[in-house]
Amino acid sequence: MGFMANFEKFAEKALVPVASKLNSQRHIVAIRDAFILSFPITLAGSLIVLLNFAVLAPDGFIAKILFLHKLFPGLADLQSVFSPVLNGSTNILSMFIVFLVARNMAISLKSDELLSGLTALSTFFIIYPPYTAVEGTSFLTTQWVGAQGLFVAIIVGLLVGEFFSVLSKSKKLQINMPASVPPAVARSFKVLIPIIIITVAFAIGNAIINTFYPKGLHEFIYAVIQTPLKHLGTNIFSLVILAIVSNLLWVFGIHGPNTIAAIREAMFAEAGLENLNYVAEHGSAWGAPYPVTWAINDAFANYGGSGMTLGLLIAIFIVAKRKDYRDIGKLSIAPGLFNINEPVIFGLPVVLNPILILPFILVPAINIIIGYAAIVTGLIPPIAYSVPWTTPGPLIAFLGTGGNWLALVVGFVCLAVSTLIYIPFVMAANKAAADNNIGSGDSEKSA
Amino acid sequence: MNEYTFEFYCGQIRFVKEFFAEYEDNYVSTTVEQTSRIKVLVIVKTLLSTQEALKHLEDVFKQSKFGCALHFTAKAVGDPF
Repeated sequence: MGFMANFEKFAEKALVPVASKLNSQRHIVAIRDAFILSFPITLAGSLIVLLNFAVLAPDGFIAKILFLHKLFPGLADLQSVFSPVLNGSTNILSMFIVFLVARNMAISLKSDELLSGLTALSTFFIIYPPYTAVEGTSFLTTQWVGAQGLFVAIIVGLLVGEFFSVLSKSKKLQINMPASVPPAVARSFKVLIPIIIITVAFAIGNAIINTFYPKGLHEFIYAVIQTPLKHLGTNIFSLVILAIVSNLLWVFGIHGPNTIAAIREAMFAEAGLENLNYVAEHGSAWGAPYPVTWAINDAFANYGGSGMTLGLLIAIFIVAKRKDYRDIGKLSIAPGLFNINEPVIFGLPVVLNPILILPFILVPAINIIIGYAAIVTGLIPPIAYSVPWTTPGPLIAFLGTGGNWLALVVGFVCLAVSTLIYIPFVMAANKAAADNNIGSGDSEKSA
Repeated sequence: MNEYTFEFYCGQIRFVKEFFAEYEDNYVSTTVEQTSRIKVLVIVKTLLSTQEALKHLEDVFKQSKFGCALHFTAKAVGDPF
């Protein structure tokens, strides 16, 4: 039995069950889905910041190209209109996450998801650093409602979601109202005792922790868990390894990005948000604190979809002699421009294809390193803006850096490199087809 | 009762094949026929329309024990990807 067959067997027997556990384990799913659900809000925040600096700022790249400030002299004044958008998105992400994690837990445990989420939000603020009085006015620090509070939000969401679901199912703890009472009131009273128990327990726990660690729970979790994980994530080796694992799972039929989603978010979320906050404050991605975030993968290593298959499509158009490859290539180019690659993945196919597996895994890793090198050498700024993953190829790098033209060039270099790497493998597929006398349009027999 | 044939593609096709072999719920009943290492034909008997049936099958597989972890795609026979 060859290596490929052995690995296929291994994937079926070992990887699929593990991936299945990771994709169905309720705590992991609750975290993963919380980030997925909050993504549109953080993306909207990012796009508005990008718009603010690209269009409205006098030195914004779109403003400069279109001479907007000569046409509309007061345009820069509008920046202050849109600046508060971040205050309602990434700057309060932890509040979304704590609610959504507890809500997702309640959904999987079949309890009241809305009240579970609300209880978690309430609990998050029970353990929050207290108000500070300055000149007679009370202030609550915003330090822990954004990126820095993410881990506390996740932990509180998981614990509250779990406890709430268990306690609210106990008949002894339910207050059942007569049928004449409006449903919303009956619903609230039914879980009143569990909510009291949870909030009291967290208040006592918080008081105990504050006794031993006066800086508070948020500071403690941030120092002990979140910061080490962030440092692990903002490291090129972690980024490359995660990308390799994700693409390796992909070619063996396992949903790589979903499987690593919870780990990826835990490692990279804060760094990505800190970069976005930096550009919101400084108006430029230059000097953003974290050069390595998952955004590098999207900006330089995901054109055409996982495996950078846009490079594969170009390689097919250049050297493929097989009719089936060329037909699939033509069919795949339109979705491929928007990073959708199902036609290539299953049409060529790439999955379980011994010839294409190696470049599929190798190309993104190499492009991540190219992108990283361009950033750390100061050629381009870090990728600080979130851009929708369906944005065509090198435009992600361009927009992600706030309109840096060299980033666009580096993006095209990555595309050229990926094409060059794919070319010999497409030629090998030509040869395999010639040897086996296939490729006349029957893609199912293709290797 | 309508009968449709859908193509399911997956790198771990055994799990798709096992799931849809004699699968039945309130809306559909299915049988399967494997055609390659990454593809099965799922033959569906249902009262739903083609698109509804396809979406239903994708959803139930996505919610299954292994389907939640697998990357797959499905389409009616003859449709483009």
